[in-house]
Amino acid sequence: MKNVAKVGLGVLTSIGGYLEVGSIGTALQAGARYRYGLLWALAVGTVCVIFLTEMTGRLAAVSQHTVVDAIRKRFGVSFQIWPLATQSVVDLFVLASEIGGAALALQLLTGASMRVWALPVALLVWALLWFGTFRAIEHSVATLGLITLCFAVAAVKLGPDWHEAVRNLVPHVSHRDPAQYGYLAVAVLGATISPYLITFYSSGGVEERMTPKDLLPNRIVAAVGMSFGSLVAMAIVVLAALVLAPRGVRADTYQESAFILTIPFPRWGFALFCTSLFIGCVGAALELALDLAYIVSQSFGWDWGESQRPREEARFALVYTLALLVAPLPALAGLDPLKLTMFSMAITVVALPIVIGPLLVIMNDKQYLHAQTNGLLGNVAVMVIVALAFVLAVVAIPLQITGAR
Amino acid sequence: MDLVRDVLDIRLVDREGQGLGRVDGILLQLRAGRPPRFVAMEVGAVTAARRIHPRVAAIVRWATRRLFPCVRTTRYAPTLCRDLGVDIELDLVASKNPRLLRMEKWLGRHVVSKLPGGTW
Repeated sequence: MKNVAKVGLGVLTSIGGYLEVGSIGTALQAGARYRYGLLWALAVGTVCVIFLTEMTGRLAAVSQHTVVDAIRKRFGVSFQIWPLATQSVVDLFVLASEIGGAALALQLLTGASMRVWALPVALLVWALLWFGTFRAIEHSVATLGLITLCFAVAAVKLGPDWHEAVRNLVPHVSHRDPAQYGYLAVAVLGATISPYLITFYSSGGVEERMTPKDLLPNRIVAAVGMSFGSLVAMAIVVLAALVLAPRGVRADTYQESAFILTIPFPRWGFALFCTSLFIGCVGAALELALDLAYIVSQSFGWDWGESQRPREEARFALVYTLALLVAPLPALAGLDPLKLTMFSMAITVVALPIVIGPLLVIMNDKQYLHAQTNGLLGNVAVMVIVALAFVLAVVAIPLQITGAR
Repeated sequence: MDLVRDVLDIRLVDREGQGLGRVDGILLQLRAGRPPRFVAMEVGAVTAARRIHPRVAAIVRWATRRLFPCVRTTRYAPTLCRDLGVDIELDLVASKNPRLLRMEKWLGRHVVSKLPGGTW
């Protein structure tokens, strides 16, 4: 019974916490420009994320150690400095995008400029981290995040072409502006397979004191939670295909896409979109600021843990405090959150191989995983994901130059 | 025991489970005609930076001297080891020793406690 409750809560948390500024922005553009044509990128990304989160959760449950711990121990500081530096930069960019997204949601709701809202949003995120505990933050934000299910309800209400949607789950190439199509496919994959998910998930497992008894719940939560979460992102693609594409809206900014829910829900649609964007972005900003503090603290062996008081883990608390001081700067400068998001997704993809690659070794380390090391399927999956990550990293920047418009 | 495989980069914890940092370096004493002796485990940003590049070490040394003059590289004798596994547990309590975790304690006293809610 306890396990059923744990799985249920985990699945709800995964669904509620799935959407953030990157997945919303890339899904809107994908649907508006290529209708259902990029659903396959979300499907492929979701399969990768299921494997990766299951593995990092398993590592935390069996060893009570995180991916960063294992990378530092197995590869040494002279290697580990690279994933640490890369991921810190990526996390900061994505954190800035999330704060910009939340500030923009408040701008759309209130009419006051997002420059006014950037600092209060960062302060809200900081206060939640400073005074809250991991469990309280995770469960409350994820529960609020269930509001994003409105996208799924709206997509079903508008009656999409299910056959076409299912047909587009198979990877294919578009002949209409292939550079932009490739760029969007890379951005969708970057938004789905975020490196921070991997380090955050394993740190969360240690925070929640997962044990080997949690291996099955972890597996179910990774598979079911991520699949349902991804269905919500797919619903945004479908909605954009049904609402934005026929009207010639290209989703260049969040502002021009904000009416997307007013067709299925004329009265509440606009407020629902803004609230979903705000909650999704604040939830992800909490995770990203925490993730930065996790990776830095774990790399240097400092004490870490969101449930401890800040004065007991001063270095950990000050890392996320500093990150939240820097992250609002792009929004304060008036940088368009969607442009920053799309750029962040491209650099996320470049960082993927260096963060995911070491998993191939770590998930076969018996000192950490004892009898729970990867089997043949797990190893093949990591190899395929690492190969995919390398390909994406190579093509990301050229596609960003030729396809971003 | 293979020092590089089993000791280097491992996390050190005290008797209460508090993290003391990672083993950034290993100190060996060279003896004529005899095998080297394992003298200490070193924890410190400069030691770690030296393994990356001497120039990085110079920058880190310069920065820590100016920003955190109280911070020193710490050495732990191997005789302090109580348990060697995924972490190394040392036979000491950091909170009772003013020479350990200086940066953590200094930041807690001078920065965190000055912020709203920093003393709760």
